[in-house]
Amino acid sequence: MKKLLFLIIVGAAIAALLQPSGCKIVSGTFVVDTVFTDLSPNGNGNYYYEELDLTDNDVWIDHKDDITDIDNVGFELWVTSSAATANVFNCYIDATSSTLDGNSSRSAVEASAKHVLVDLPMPPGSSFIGYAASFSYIDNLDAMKTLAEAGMFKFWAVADVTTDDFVVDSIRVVLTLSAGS
Amino acid sequence: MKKLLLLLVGLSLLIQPLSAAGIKAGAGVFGGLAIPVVQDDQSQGTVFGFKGRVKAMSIFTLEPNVTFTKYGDPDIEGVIDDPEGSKLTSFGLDVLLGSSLGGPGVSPFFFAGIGTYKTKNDQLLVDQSEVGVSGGLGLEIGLGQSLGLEGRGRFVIVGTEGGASKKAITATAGVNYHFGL
Repeated sequence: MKKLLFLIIVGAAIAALLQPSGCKIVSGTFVVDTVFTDLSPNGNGNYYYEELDLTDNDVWIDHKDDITDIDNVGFELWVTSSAATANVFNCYIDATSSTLDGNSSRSAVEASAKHVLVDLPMPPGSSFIGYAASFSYIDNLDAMKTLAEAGMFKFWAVADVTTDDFVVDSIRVVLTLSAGS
Repeated sequence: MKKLLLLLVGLSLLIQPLSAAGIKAGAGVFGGLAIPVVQDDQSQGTVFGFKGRVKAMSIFTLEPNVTFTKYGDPDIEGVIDDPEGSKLTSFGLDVLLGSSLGGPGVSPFFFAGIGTYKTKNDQLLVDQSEVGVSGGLGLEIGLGQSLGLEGRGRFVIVGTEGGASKKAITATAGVNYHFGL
């Protein structure tokens, strides 16, 4: 009888603790992982633009109505530089509702879009920035999480040395989210 | 580490006067497995911790505790360089029903607790603290008046900022030493 009473008290206490914070017990943490290949460069050779849409990902479709937190956003990037010397590049994102696009000037993107990856290394030839490694270059993570809530955003990559041409061959976006109902 | 040392010093200072006053008290260490539940960004890891034990009233035992969990590296499908698993440090208080707190024999018990849980992952720029609750079942085998071995299974629910929860199961074994018997 004492044990039953204890269990009832414990259950009530847990419910009381969780309810005020709105904590959803039926919930989990999920990873939305989408790779974009066969990309078509926009703009000129040192400026790259793409609209990244994760909303047709199965995990996103399953949980999009119950998302409570965007826990993290990271990237994998495959890049090929045609320059003879090492360069760096920077990545910017903005909401799909932004007036900026592939026709916007480099200076307009740098001034108005969110600078999210800073000084990524770009040696001559092909190179790869891994997911875990991408966090070493991330800036404005909170702003990136907010923009990622829509599941799609505009993406720009610009070479630091404007005379160096490069191609972003593929991009993988890895979005970690919590969802509950 | 400073918090851990402070806790251990605090426990030792607390236990001596309790023991002198004839109040049943003790301390224990434990370790085992931590299994994330519906957390795609973590995989199975290890947990260890320390606790104090004080008999409160005739049927309850209180256990202030600190635990250190290190999740394993997740295997995110398609991602080439998977990130490291997160570290979870908790400071909590459990209430036990059924623990004999010393003496020979077998004592099954229920427990429930509340604590603060700090999740840290330097690689993924994660550093956040949330309140969590836990509960489960255990079994203590007394090997004499002062020494006991125990095993327990714990279900942990930690709230997230947005209102979802992150859950895990821990299965631990430990050694307890009792004073004031």
